[in-house]
Amino acid sequence: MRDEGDKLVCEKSVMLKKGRIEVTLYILRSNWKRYKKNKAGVLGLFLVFFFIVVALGAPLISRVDPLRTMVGPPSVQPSLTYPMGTDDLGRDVFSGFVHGARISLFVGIMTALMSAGIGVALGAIAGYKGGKIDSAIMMITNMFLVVPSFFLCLVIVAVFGATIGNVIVVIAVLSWPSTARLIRADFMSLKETEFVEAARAIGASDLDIVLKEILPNALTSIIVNTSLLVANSILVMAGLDFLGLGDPNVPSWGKMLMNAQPFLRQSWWMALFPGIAILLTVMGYNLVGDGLNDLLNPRLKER
Amino acid sequence: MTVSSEEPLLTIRELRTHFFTSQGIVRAVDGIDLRVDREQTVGLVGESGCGKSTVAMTIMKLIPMPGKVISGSIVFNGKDLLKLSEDETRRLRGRELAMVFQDPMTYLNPVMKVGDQISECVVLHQETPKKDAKKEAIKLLEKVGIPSASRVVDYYPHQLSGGMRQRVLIAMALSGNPLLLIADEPTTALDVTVQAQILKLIEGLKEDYHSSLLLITHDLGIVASMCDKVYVMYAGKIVEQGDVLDLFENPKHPYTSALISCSLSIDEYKKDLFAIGGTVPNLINPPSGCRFHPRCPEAKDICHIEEPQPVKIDGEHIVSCWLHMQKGG
Repeated sequence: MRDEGDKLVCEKSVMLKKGRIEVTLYILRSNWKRYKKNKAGVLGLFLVFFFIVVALGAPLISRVDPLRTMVGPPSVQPSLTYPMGTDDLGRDVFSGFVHGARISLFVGIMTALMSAGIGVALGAIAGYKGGKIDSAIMMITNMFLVVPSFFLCLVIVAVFGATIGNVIVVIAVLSWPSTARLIRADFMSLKETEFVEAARAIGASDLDIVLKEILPNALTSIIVNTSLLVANSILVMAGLDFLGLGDPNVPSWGKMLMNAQPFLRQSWWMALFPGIAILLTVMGYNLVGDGLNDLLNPRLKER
Repeated sequence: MTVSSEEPLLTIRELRTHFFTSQGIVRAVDGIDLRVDREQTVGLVGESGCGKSTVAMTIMKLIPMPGKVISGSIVFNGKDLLKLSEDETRRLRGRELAMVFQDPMTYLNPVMKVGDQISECVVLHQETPKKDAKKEAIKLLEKVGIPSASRVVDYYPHQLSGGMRQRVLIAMALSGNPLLLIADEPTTALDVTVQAQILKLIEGLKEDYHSSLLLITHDLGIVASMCDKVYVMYAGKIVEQGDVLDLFENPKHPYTSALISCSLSIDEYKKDLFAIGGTVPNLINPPSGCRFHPRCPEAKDICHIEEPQPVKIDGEHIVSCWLHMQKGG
């Protein structure tokens, strides 16, 4: 008897779990249906997904150490053994292409999250509170904006050492001001809306209003902006690497470009493949940003 | 402080709310007295721009930026609202004081499901655990007469019609079971066909919840059918007040009579619509004396010079007009 009862309970919970999964699948499917309408967004998603897979599977896709020299003869054209050729020191370009995706994505996503965190928090406070707090925060923001950030990046990395950690922190610290300004503008207009007034009339606290009323309305710009930040960070990091200020112990596309520079006319493949990789990743994140914008804006939903 | 139920729920005395704009001081509310008893429906009527909504916002303590309360007191349920801290007012809003707004299109958060917006209020006011809040939201939606409420909770505001949205806003206002519901022109933005339904709903819910209602409108028809008592407001001042029947049958102030003649009725076909000449005066520089005198058909010399004081006609019926001051002595 008891066994049967337990069995029943067990089945029920399995059914319940199944139900939840089905609901999630349904939500995903219906969102995908709408996202799919934006062809460029689909392409972007495909690119992002492709590079994520490459990054995660890098050690399986190419077993050759991308930093090891004399894997093959130097400056070999792309062939079956070396799909993207080898560079002047006999390193496998394909391996660099695959392993470079890892570091690009890691740095891009980490910096984007960090800078979005700082930017959203400061922008929200400034926009919502207004007055002196706003002035103070905006003064700091503008100070960051006045400084040519790429050169500041160069200096800081040159002084403090070119480790991945430093690069991430530096890019994040220098890229939050644009987010802060964007979010501040959003908050300033949103806090005047009538639904915020209605929320206040119903007794919502400032924190409630910021988190539940305004933030969801600003989420579109936050998410879109974050995906653009990923693209931007990848570009900045490639720039640093290109100038020789990347972490020397990590394979990266920017550094491959730097190495390729003197050999552009002899070994075009050295520059072409990392260049394409940077182009496609950055483009992918930009297109995904656009696609998400269309998806997340509820006013566009029923179209 | 003990509050006897005999005491009026809301007493406003000599309230002045001014807006300090760059063009000058706008005296939107300039010394009004108003009383709402428990479970009473009180109408506040007047033209656009006469300060009705400012009264509502002042009671809620949500006056927009350059506005400020200059003097007066608002005693609500034994507490002086103007002396409460921001935190104390916040706790009052929604639970004891709630408001239904004019335009249901813009007062709902466009990116939140209707159900979530209501459950948020429920969680805020009733300390209901989050998972029961949705059930409570469905219950509230049913109460405000939304068909298939269990489906509508998952809708976004843009998927609802104007009438439905106003119902949702009413549901939100009622989530805290307020003592006083302020309805600021709740039907102005709605179709005529929906207006009657919404008004009936508000009236019925007011009875169910034993709340009082302060109805702000410019539609005298609504006031006549719903209110117990009316205040007629003109240019920041109360010009006449009284029992609904009394006031409509026997208007004393020329402005009230004019407003009544302006209201349309299908029964009596009027070829020419009656309109009060002129416009609401500029509240930065209100006319001297009685503020209505430039538009008053019966204005006398004294009306230009001195402001009339309130005169009691009988019982609750009070009017501020020189025509009656002399008669009364």
